[in-house]
Amino acid sequence: MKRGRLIFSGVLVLAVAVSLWRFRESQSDAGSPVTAGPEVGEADPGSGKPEAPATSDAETAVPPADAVAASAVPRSVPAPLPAANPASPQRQSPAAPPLPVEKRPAAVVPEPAQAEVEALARNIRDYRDRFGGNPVGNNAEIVREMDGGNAKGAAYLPSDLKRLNGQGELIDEWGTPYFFHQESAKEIEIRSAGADRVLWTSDDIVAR
Amino acid sequence: MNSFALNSFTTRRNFLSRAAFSGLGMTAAGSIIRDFGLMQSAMAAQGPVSGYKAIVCLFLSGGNDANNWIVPTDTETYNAYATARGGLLQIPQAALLPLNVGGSPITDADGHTYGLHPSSSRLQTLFAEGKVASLLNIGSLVRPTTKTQYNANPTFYRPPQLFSHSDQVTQWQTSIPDQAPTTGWCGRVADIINGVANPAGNISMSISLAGANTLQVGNMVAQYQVATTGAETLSGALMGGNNVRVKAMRDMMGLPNANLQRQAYAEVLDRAIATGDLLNTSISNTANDAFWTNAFPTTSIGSQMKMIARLIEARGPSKFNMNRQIFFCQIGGFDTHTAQVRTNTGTDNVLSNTGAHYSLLFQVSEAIFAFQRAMEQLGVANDVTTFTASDFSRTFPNNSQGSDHGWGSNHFVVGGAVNGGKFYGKLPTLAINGPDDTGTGRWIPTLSVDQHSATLARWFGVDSSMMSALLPNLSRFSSSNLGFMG
Repeated sequence: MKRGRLIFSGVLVLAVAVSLWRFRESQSDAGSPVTAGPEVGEADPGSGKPEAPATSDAETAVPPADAVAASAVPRSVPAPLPAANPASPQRQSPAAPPLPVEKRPAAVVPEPAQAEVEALARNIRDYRDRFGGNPVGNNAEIVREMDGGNAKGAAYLPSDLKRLNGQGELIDEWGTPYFFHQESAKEIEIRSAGADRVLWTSDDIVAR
Repeated sequence: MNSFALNSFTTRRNFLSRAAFSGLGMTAAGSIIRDFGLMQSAMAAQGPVSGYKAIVCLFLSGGNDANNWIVPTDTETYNAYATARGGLLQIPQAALLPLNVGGSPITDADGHTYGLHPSSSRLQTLFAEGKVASLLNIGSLVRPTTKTQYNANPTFYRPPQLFSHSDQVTQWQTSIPDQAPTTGWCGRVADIINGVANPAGNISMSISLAGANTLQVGNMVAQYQVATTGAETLSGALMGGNNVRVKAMRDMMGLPNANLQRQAYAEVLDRAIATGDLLNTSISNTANDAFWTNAFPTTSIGSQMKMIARLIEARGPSKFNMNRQIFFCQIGGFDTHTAQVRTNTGTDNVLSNTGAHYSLLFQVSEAIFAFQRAMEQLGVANDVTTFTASDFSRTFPNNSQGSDHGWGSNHFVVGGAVNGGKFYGKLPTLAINGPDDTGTGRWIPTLSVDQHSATLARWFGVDSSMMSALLPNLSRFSSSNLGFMG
């Protein structure tokens, strides 16, 4: 009985010690200089520049913080086309009306567009690895979160991906806002409407 | 050596760390089971549970667009609905089925009147009979939350991974959104009440018609899964003409075994076979559809609810011998990002009875109606309460083809014990980016799942003193009884 108590006490003390040690480790991880950019509001509060992400994926293009800031201007988008089935006014994106069915192109996925969606998926994965879950919300909210508006001020939206419309939504190369289907904390589907600018059709480009 | 190979080794540091946490986890699990054991003892001290009661959860998987299930019909609010909803999803005012009792429209606390989706005439009938209560703007909440708080302190106020399917399903079913899921709230109810309510029960208190679910996961009561045709059993030609192989197998499993694990496995398997046989025998008298005075629909959800009715019919002492039961059934397809109102012929029409959302709501309405009539036929209409639940509602404006993930939703509670023909809760201000909107018409709930669960659990027989253990966040909300259960 006495021995059992001793063992139990020993396990408890060990658990507390390990917890403290892990806590210290996580604190030092969070504070480690993963990039040259300072945490917002800490070392360089005046700059307000977001921190670049800590990532082990060499393919993930992460620009320097100043490049991210410079890329905030939306790139050119296609001219609007007549909408067959308009979204509610609050949901309309000026650059993303769908093409009429007869004008929709064949489902050929251009490689750059596919690469862009996949790069976006990788960056969301990096975000998830850092924060323990996917960013949540609608397109504009996810963009804000990915673009430094998170607890660590870390940026996950490099300039080559950062194409925004006037509502702060991330759009594909045809001007349609990406659709982020949030399935769980670890699963998210990123969907481009493709050349026909209509979601859930055969030319959609999807990555997760 | 590659990184995978390196990762496959466990360092002494990792081993000690994991061992310590495992020890703590086991201690915690033991503590939880002990706590529920103590609660069972406390329940037992209050005397035996008499009479029969059952809770049925009908889960609308994918996130039902409840904005079109219950629609305000008073002119000012309907106009707000029409403005924000947009042409594709907007139901014409004249097509809504008015929610009246005694021929007069019923108002909520703010004076709004309502109509149902045109598919749901059967629910309209039950509402008029006072057997349906409507809950407005309910959802998973960590604590009461205003828009200002939602924006100012996300980690404190927002449920984790808000707007994601699996997380919101889990949070609806655990009713503890800010903790890692371990048990469902109905599973915890079963843990508390099963020992005193079903001391000689012959079947699990928690039965699912839709496979494994979080809602019924408990620490002590295991959920039992049944198909719409009954329990899956070992039978037929492969088991011998007279099930001789089954008999032989059970004889072998009955032999004592020195290995405790083998012994336990044999007992579990033997019990499963016996339970399956008992279940199928007990419900055989209701196999013929003619048994039911009101036919069940032949849809999946109709078949699931028919099987629940058959299981309830077999509740008595000569069969299952149960005083309390919890059932789970589910219908999928509500994740209507696209083609929400598209018909089989490709026409977008919110009023078409072949449109995706119309069809789903029609199935739900018909199944609930048949089930309620079946309960009346069995004489347990006042003892069985059905509630609907879903991942979330959907965005209020349309996205040109459907709607996206939302938050606060409208739901129904159905049964003879329900204080029905009424609305509970508060309709959000139907304005995009208005005071109740997080953006794109995702309403911040004003009723919490915790309050909803507590109201049902109290009716079911869980003592008030156990509510804090059942629903740890309940005290954060102003009321633990929404009043819809009489």
